[in-house]
Amino acid sequence: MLQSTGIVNTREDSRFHISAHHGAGQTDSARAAWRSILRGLPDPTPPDISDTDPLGTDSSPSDDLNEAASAALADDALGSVDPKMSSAAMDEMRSARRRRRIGDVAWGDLAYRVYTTALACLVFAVFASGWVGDSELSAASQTSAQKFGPVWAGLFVALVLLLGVRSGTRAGPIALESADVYHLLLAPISRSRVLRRPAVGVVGYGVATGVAVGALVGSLCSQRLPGSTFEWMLSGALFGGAAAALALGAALITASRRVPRPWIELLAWALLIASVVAVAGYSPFAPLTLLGQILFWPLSFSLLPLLLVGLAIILAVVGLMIVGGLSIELAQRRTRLVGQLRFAVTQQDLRSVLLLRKQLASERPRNKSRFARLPIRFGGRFPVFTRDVQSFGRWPWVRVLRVTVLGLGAALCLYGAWSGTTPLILLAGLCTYVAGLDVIEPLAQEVDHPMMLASYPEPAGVILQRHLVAPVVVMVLVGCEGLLLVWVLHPSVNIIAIGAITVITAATTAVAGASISVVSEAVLDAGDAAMMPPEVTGPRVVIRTLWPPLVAVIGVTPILVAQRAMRLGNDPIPPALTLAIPILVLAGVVFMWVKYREDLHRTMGEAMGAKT
Amino acid sequence: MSRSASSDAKSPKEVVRLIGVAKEYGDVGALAPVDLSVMAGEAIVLVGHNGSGKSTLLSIIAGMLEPSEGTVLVHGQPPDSVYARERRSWLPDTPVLYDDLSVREHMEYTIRMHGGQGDEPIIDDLIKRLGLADREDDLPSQFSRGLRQKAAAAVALVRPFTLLLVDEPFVGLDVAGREALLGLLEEARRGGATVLVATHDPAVISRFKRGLVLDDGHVVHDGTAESLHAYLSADVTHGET
Repeated sequence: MLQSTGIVNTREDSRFHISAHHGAGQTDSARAAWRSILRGLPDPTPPDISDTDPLGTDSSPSDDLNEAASAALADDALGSVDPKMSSAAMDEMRSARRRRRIGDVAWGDLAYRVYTTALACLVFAVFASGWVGDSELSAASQTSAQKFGPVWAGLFVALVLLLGVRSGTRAGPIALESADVYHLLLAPISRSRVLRRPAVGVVGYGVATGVAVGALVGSLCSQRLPGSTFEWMLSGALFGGAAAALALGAALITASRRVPRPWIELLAWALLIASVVAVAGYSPFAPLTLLGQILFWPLSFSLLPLLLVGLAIILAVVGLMIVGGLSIELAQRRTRLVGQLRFAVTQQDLRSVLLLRKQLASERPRNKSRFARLPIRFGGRFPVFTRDVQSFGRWPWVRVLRVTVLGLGAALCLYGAWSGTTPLILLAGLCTYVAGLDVIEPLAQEVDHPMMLASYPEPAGVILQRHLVAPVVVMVLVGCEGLLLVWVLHPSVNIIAIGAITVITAATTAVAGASISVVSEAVLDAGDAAMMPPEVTGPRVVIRTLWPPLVAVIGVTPILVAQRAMRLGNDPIPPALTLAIPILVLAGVVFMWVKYREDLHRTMGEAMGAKT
Repeated sequence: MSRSASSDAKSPKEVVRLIGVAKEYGDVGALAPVDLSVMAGEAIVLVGHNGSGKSTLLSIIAGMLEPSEGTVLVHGQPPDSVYARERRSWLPDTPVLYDDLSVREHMEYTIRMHGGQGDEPIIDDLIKRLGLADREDDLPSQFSRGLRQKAAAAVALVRPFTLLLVDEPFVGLDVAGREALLGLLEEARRGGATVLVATHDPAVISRFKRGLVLDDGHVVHDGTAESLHAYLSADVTHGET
């Protein structure tokens, strides 16, 4: 009996169920053949290749039991795999693959990439340094920085923490290779063992980035606040590193599913709300303000914040210890999508990035529309508008919520700009731009399916332009909701009038900006870009990336001229109306560009071809 | 000897047990609550139209998907336990292979992950039988769909297992590859393994002893190959009328 041969032999006998030769007649002969192969001996029973018995249908009357018994035996015999052997095999293969990758590296290319990255960092540092200035702040401003700086830094940490937790709910921050999910996570080896090394890599990289960015911020702070540059850089580095460790640790713990996700998400949201309340001045302190104090240590030193640094370290370590609880289903989806996402980012392909991000967040259209079908006569006359309304009716709740919150956020930012905090205008414009990217989805779908677009009996540009109508209507509705909020905060006829003008301009430019992003093809796909040096493609990429959100920001500027007129004691409405006209013309130009873009490209291409 | 009498002496083990297992993606149901028991040594074919839930069912048993509700047991253990992973081999419909490992390296790696030495003769045998002898040192990332499928089959079959889950294994395979794979599945079953295969290929159905039909996530038929043929014929006739 096989059972009596001891565990080693039994494993050998039952390890592989595939016989060495095709179509061996019976189970015993198949096993015998396999044993021969295992031992490197010739097969004592040559196969009958004419035997094509169907799977499971060649049984003799009592064969069911024989089969069952042999399978049961195989199960009993299949002893535990030694985890040390599996771990050793994994480590060895990983090392071999790493060596191979290093061997394949084109060192010249790598050096050039390092050079361009360093150059970009240097340019950013010099630009940021010049923007911050170097004259020391007044005593009042220093007091203000000391009082409010930690609160704002705490708000930043709360945001990063929430992002970390959200990433954890989607199996982040680790993104494995697709093959690793199949071949390692399904192998009989501890998943913690498999995942720990990539997780350590992610945490290490994240903390190092946090330290570097924190040190840079500290260096910039030192230009205008008292204290040595070294002190500021050190405190900034500690702050950045701790914030990164906190967020990544929270992400790993969330991904491990050892703590109920709703509780973690609730806690993260509670910390964010507490920080927002503190920033708004309704509370002097929020829990994460403590961590923010580290950034301002050169102004006011206290050992208490070290408690949060300790907590961040503990969270990161605990996260690394329990990372094996990762959901393989989420890991698989994340693996697939993150790979595509990275590629899309390198191609500056915003549309793909957004699409993949939505997939990563499991943001799928509803199966059933919320709206009743529009009358057939209407649908016949306005098929594109009807199709767009059908798309909006299938928005998942999370998208409805996001666009609503972005609308309210933009309104609050504009109210803040009206009240004197001018830079909030940028944030308001970005909110409308992001909302615009959501409402432009039907147009994006059309762009994603060029074959269908080409099959319609009308020029593609005309159809694309028609897709802009419904999004503008939706954005106006979103703007009205924001206007209502502002009216609740400050019921004034002037504000409502200026707000109404801004709603119209912001809605059209948000859609215009988003349509530029969606309709423009990926920068690096543009053929000629491949031949340009990075010094040329870099600024080109920056301009093409910044232009769409800039268009959206321009749409909210009537608030600024109105506020200026108000300060000067003039009627704020005429200047706002005056500025609204060129803004609407700009949006109109963009809408025409969407319509005639292909024709323009074709004409230019022909002209260039004729010249050459 | 009757089955029950023999069961007392050595009852066949239950390899897979599904109790009220369902899967939903948002508001779309992929699998309705399914109860299923698969005994050791069985060879089962899963058939159904596109989107009927075959791949979902196999993926849940393979531990790749988590059921929205219900319980899954593989050899009496949760499907993501080390015990279950040690005994279950999974050949997905889309081959998943490393870009930087050759076919042979994949097989060596896989066999070593399961306690082998990496130099077992089965590697050569599978490579030969699946027609990969000329390509064993090439990267599967440069293969055609059919060759990748063969490479994935070799990797799935080279390791020890008592439960083999195979999803649409014949897509892209030439006739020789298809016959070779069928032969290997047959031998796996004869060796005592339990085999579950999802396929659209009607020519393959008759080679299995038990057949399940899935329709919109529901198991609408569970019976012998003959009854499956009768059911499918009736279904087609019904559809035509």
